[in-house]
Amino acid sequence: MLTKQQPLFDLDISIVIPFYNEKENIPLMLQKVETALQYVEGSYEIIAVDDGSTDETFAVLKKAKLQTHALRIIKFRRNFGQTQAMQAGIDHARGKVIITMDGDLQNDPADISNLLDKMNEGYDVVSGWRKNRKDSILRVIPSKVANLLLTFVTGVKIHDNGCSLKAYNTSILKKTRLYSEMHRFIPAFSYLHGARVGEIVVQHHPRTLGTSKYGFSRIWKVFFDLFTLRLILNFTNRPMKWFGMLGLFSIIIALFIFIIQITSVKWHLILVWFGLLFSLNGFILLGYGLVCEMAVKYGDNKI
Amino acid sequence: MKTQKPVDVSVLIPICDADDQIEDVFIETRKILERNNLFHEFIFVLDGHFPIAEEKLEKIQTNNDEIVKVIKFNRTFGEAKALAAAFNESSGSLILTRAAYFEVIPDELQKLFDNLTDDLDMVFGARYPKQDNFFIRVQSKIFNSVVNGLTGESFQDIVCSERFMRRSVMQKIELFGDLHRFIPILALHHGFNVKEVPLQQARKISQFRIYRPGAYLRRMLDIFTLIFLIKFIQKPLRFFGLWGVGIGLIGFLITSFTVIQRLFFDMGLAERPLFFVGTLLILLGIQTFFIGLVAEIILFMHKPSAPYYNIEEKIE
Repeated sequence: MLTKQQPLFDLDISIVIPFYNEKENIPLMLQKVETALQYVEGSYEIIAVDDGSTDETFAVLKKAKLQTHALRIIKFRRNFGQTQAMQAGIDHARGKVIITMDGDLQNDPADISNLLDKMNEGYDVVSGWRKNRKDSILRVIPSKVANLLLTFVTGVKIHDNGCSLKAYNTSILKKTRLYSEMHRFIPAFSYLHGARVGEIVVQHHPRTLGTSKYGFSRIWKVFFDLFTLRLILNFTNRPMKWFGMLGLFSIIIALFIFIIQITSVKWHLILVWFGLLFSLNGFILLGYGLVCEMAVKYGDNKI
Repeated sequence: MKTQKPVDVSVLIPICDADDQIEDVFIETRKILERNNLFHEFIFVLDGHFPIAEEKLEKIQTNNDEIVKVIKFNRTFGEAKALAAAFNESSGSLILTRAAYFEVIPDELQKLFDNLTDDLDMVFGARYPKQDNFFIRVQSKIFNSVVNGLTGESFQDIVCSERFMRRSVMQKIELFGDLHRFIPILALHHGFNVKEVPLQQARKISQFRIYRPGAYLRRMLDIFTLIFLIKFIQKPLRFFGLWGVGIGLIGFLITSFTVIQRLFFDMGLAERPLFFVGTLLILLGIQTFFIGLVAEIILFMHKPSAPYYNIEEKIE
């Protein structure tokens, strides 16, 4: 539950790590993060989100808490997915900078200080770039295509949006609420909000312990989400423009058909039929445009 | 607050049908609660205008002022809203919902208390063995198997009003429309642990109930709402988009088929109902897709007050 009164950002750094069935990786992961943070100035906390693991992830985390005092643990009632886990971490974060990373040790915590250095240069979001990615080619290629598409869709010039290792200015993250699988698009969103987005090359290791949680079914979802994102960005900006244009276009075709019909001598059933279909389509689209204008006007997630 | 002692169990009883067992339900429920040493409160909600029930409640209230609250709606808002209103007034750490008549034999309530173990968040009753007539049994069987089939659960009697749960469950579930029927499934969806407990059905039910056709249609819509809420509320365009593209594609194939026949086999389009079906399906497909987009925009623009995830435990 979100507390009504958000605690102040009294810390410098919040590390948010979602864990889903990663009991093998937790001890080493936390140890590496702590070591990395020793070289960094400032106070910090580590927020581990147990995303409804079915193994002993939570027990291992609790044990780790005895040694790592900066650790805060959030346990979900079921598996809600990476986006929701990130959101929970963000909601509870008290640091001025939030750094997210995967709990599978494929990201290297040693890169944290590099991220922070880059943040200090005045960036609001710094994304990791797994330049030498240690995954199978079947995962790397679709991911490359998706990244190119995202650059094309939003204009943000980031090579590797799928990389979980990222640093954010907290005030930017607290503005939006993530849903579906939108965590990949935060840099893109932030960029559209006017944030300065940068990236650095980070290390990437092959998975040594535990199993990968990403199936191939995810890839088409990413593409579909991208497509959705483009539509949303277009349509929320000025819904009536897009819906209205589509609707009016449809109505103009209908009018055109009806004019031909009236000026011709003979009734043509098929023409009349198409005229009706197009006008129906046009008016409904205009209606949708109005509904979306309302949704945008009364919506509270301002972009 | 009149009492200092915290309430253990809040009993929520919505009164949606004029019924004559309110006093008995109150007395029997209270007996069992007292037997279990549970400090309790009763919250009745009159969902509409029920003069007889109101009179009885007044009597109950004057005799047991400190533990009985009555909420009166000035028109019918439905059982879901009644439960939500009652919950808002409640303060117990455990919530018991009951019907205003005996759904199950009074003593069977004990089983709910016994079954709510530490690892569970909610238990609810399944009326078994069923005492209803054949017709009601068949329709309830159909309803339950449709819901089970679509949600992948295996419950016997989802709609039973005898539910016993922790406060956090009701807090997380937003009740509106006819969603009260699906509380166990909504609880599961939020990650709570739910168990069904067979309770012996009361023999009383005398009236032979066949609902009007509208009721059956509404049940179907309820199920549709439920599925949308638990599967697609986070990604409406995936749902509507897929259907839209599918329908549109079928329409396109049908239309192409008839157009090809027109071009090469000289079959006039105007006499082909299939052609009209095809073109209409294309329109339907387009519209379905855009409905998904509208839903997605509403979701995108809306910042919900409560997060979607559900936290079981926090260690700071």
